[in-house]
This record gives sequence, C-alpha cells and structure tokens, in this order.
Amino acid sequence: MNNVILVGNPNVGKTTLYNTMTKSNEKASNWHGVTVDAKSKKYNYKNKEYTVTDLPGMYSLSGYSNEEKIANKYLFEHKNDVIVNICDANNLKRNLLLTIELVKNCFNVILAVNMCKEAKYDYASLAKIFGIKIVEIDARKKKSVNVLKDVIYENINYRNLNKNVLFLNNKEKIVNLNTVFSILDNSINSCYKKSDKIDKIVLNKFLFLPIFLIILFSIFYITFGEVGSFISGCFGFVFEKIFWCIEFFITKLNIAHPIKMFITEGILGAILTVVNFVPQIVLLMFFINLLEDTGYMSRVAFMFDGVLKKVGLTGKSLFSILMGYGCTASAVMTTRNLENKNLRKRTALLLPFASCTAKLPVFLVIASLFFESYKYLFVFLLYIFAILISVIFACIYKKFIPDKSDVFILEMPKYRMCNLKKISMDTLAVIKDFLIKVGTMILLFSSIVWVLQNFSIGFKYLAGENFNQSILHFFASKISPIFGVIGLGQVGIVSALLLGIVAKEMVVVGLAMMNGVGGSIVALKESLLATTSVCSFTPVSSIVFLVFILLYSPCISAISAIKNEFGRKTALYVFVVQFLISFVICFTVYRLLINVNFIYVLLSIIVVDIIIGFMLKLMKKKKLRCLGNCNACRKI
Amino acid sequence: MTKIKLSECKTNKTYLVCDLKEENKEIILQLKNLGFSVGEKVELIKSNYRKKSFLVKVMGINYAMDKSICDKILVKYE
Repeated sequence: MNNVILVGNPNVGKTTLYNTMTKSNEKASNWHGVTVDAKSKKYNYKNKEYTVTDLPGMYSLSGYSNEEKIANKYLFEHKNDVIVNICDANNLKRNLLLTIELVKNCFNVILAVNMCKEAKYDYASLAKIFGIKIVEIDARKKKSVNVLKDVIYENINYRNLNKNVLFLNNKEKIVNLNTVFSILDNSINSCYKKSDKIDKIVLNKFLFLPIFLIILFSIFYITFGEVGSFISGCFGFVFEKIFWCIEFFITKLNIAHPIKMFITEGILGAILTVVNFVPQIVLLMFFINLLEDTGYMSRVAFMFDGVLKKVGLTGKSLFSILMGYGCTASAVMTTRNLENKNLRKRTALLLPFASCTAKLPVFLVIASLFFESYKYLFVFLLYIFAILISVIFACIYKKFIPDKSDVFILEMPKYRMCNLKKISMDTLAVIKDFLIKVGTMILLFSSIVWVLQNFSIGFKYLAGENFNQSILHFFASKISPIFGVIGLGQVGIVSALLLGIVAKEMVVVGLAMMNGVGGSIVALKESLLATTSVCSFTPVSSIVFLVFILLYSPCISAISAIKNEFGRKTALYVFVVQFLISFVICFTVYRLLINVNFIYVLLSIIVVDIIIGFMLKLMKKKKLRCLGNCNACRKI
Repeated sequence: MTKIKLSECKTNKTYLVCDLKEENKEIILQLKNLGFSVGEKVELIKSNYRKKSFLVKVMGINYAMDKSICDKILVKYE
C-alpha cells in the first residue's frame, strides 16, 4: 500500500483534489478551514493501490492554530511515501514557504500547482532549484489529476527501484531563496485585480448591507416562495403517485390488516411526508453553497467582524454559524478553526439558534396553515427572530465566558466563477445525508411511533381508532399538562415535539402519523386545521409551535457532536438550557398573543436570567476559569 | 520609522511592517507564516463597519485583519 498525503496552505484546493482523486464528495469551499480533520480514502491506479489523506490547511510546519497542529502531528506520526504539496498559483510566493520547509525536512515532495490559468511561472527553473517534480494541475478536472497520478506512480516506482540509494538531505539544494522569489516576481499574476474591482462595490460601506439583504431575501423568496412551492408541488405529486401504486399493490396482497397498515402508514407515509420537502432543501443548500464558492462569505465575515466583536465573537465565528443553517452537528466541528477555547465554546453554544435544514419541513407546513400567501416572509421573520435571540445570548455568554478576544486574521480568497458541477455535488451530498437519515433513523422511529400509536397498553391492536387507549397517548398525556402552559398541550403535538429530539425531520412525520394521514401534504394540512384531530392548530398555537421548534434542544447528532468537542457537561447544558429558553420564550409569546400582560413578560425575563446565570455559574465553577492562555488550551 | 495609529491612517495608502519582536509570539508566528516580514509593504484597502478590522494587501494577497494588529505592526512609509 502506498500512502499519499495532501498538504498545502488553506483554501488552495486540497479537498477538491482529494475528491477528484478518490471520487469522493467531501465538503470543499472557497474559504480557509473547511477541512478540520485528516480524511483518508483508497484509489487504484495502474494496478497499484494508494491511500490518499487530505490534511487540514497549514501555513508552515510550526503553525499554531488547531487545524495546523492536527496536520503537523499527522505528517510526522504517519507513514508517507509521497507528499503532494498543493499550491495556489495565484499565491505561489507565500505557498512556497511551506514547500521549502517540507523539502528541508526530507519529505518526498511533489509540488502540484493548482489554478494556473491566470498566473504563469517558470516551473522548470523552480523544479531545478527545489530538486522536486512540479506538476501544473486543475484539481477539478479528472484528466489533469491523472497527470499527477502518473507522476506519483513514477515517483514511487523510482524510489522502490532505488531502495539502496541514500536520499540525501535536501537542505543544501535551496541555496538562494532570492532566486526563487525573483522568478516569481518576474511572472504574470493578475487574478486579484478583478477581485479588487468587485470588492470596491461589494465592500462599499453604503452598498454592502443592501446587497447582502437583497441576496438573503432573494434566496428566501426563491426557496419558499412560488418557485420553491411549484417545484415542491411537482415533486410531491410524482412521489404521491408512485407511493399510491405501491399502496394499491400492497392492499391487493393477502396479508394481515395490521401489517398492511404498518407498511402503508408507518413506513410509506412517513417517508413520503419527509421526501416532499427535498426540493426546498435542495434550493436552500444550493444557494448557500453558491455564496460559499464565489468567495462572498469571507467578505461577509470581514464586514461583520466589528459587529460580531461587540457580542464577543469574531468574523471567523460567522463561518460556523452559517454552516449551522445546514446542519448543527457539522457546524460544531468547524468551530475548531477558532484558536481561542472560550470563543469556540461561545460560538458552539450559539449554533442551536441557527435553524438547520431539518427544521424547514416543519416551518413550511405550519406556516402555510394560516399564512399561506406570505409564507416565505413568515419563515424569513422566523430566521431574523432566531438571529435576534442569538445576539442576546451572545452578549450573555460574552459576560459569563470571558476571554481576551481572539485575533482576527483572515485571508480573503479571490472571487471565483462558481463551479456548477461542484455546487451540485455538494448539494447532492446534503440530500444524500438527508435521505440516509430518512432511510435509517426516521424509518426506525416512525415504525416505533406507529406501534406505540396503534397498540394499547395490553398490546391490543387498535386499528387506527381509540387513540386515547394507545401506549403513546398514555405516556404523552403525562407530560402534556406541562406543554399546556404554552398552549401546546395536545397529546399529539407533545408526541411530535418529543420525536423532534431524535431528529427534527421527525416532527412532521409525527404530526402526520398522529392524525393518521399518509404522505400527502395537502391531507396533512387539512387534518392540522380540523378541530377533531389529535393534533390541530390555531393561529396562536401555530406561532408558538414554530418558535418552540426554532429554539428548543438540538437533535441527538448535534448533542453528540457537542459532547465530543466540549465534553458531557456542555452537551447537557445545551440540551437543558435550549429547552428551558424555548419554553420560557414560548410562554412569553403565548401570553402576549392571547392576552397582553406585561407581568408575564417581566416574569419570563427574570426566569431566563435566573436559569442562564445558574447554569453558567455551575459550569464556571468547574472549568471555565481559564482565559484561553493556560497550558491545556495551548495543547489543543 | 515612526509607529502610526490607525486613526491617522488613510485607506488606499501604503505602509510598512515594523519590527515584530516585542509583540505576542503567537501572532508574530501567524503573521510570518502569512508572509509578513519586517519592511514588507502593506496597502490598507478598506475598513469594515465600526472600523474594527481592515482589509490589507501584502505580497499581492488580501487579508482581513484586526485593528489592534494593524496598530502594532504598521509604520509610515517614507
């Protein structure tokens, strides 16, 4: 087995090269620090097997950020046959500082220069000076990457054939750095000129905010407005017909009634309910990926850095928060980019406020019950509300988890034409994860819910009638009085909310199953409006329900990611505090909507203060005394 | 060379990186890795809202950087 390791500065295209080499679909984007851990995969080339490892970006072998330490450790502790050092042709001068260090440390290096279109250098002279092979590549193109694979193959073969030859220390080969730099200085590099011109408009203080808001609103309008609804409707129609055929086929089979109902309601219905929302998730993720890929997000981070500092965060935190709008669990992982331990924790504690894509189906179904004509505006306002709440909590966390503020230095990537193929692949990866979740966790839990809903305590089949006697009703009715305080006391709604702790997609599935409707969204909406249903909504309860979904405890995967990154106590804190926060805020909203009474509002604010203060004091006593400069923090 | 305060700085002007010896070691290491060295020309391109960070150009590459760092490393280019 031959081990190939990909190293290079952040945002030079390591993960893109890794994806092309191994036919993978790892997340790659136009900003630094997307990769936070080493990833390996095998590929075969000319009857030989290779293991390629993609390392997080590093500027030098003595880097101090978390991801640089991970990369350094991996590089020196794992066996490697070839190191492929990927450099961005547009920043070659700075990128070569790492190449020099690698060569000095006697690694077997191949230099792969990516994005060569706009910058041309005398690679032959450079190769002579370094004594290594230099390959010009386009990391996105298979043909170009195969040239690199050929060079790797030849390099390893040559080494294997000359095992007895002692490969001397290359230190002496680099005799004159100035020669290297003079070659680079005499070359053409025009790529930043275009970016600078665009930045003059995009980063203009008066234009930035309107442009940003127009982009955001357009995304919401397309995703949740007429375009999104139309595509979603067509998609749902096709799937409904397919599932109807399967259902028809099953009803013709000579099998027991409970089994028939289990397949049609418990399995097919649950899948169809969630699958209906795939188009809107595709659209939202497509636009987020598009903004990431063009390099616009780094500009947003830069412009908002000053504002974020006010609430104890930095521009870099914004990347993790934006990732949180896709998936909270993966966003928690990206906080590794932040060097300061307390800043990392503060950012992670705010991530559950960023509404993930799994909450979208709930927003769309419930918002359209009473606010159909301006649904997208309603969802947009929900997102704004979540941002406002997270700002308040960012200020609270800043006070309770203080530190010397993190240093903000961020390389501004140049603007790139978006690669539609890459963006589509990234979006497809999100859909794949979503469908895997539907096929595993959601299927399992919807089956369990169906059994709990259709069988009595004595395990007698209820045939879809007498829900009051079911196991689910028995347990949910014990908790429902608590939710009754916020106007969500119906047993069916309580059950759906509890299911949301497993996965947020389960909320819609739960609502559909409680009301005994299959996958049809129209039927689900009608049932949610019918007062005789197990779950039914009024305009007030629908708003409270949406606010609760927006803010309450994140799903199991996110909690487990927080536990892995920050420990059990922080995970427990997030779970409990998010639940309590949402409960108290919903209580306020509910009371305000049914009867404006400021005593309730005042009481709620005091309760929130007490809860947060008490929980943070508990945490602070044990661990949070560090100001980010102790030995434990430096080791990370 | 005289150290300057950013309040005196103007965008679209060129400054120089001063001696970094006495500042925080970690920041110096990070800056050196990014290609900042003593005497390197730094072009101040833009500031963000509340002027907490600046967009600077070093060795042809753009960086967003804290005001505090700019304050420490920039000197007048004469």
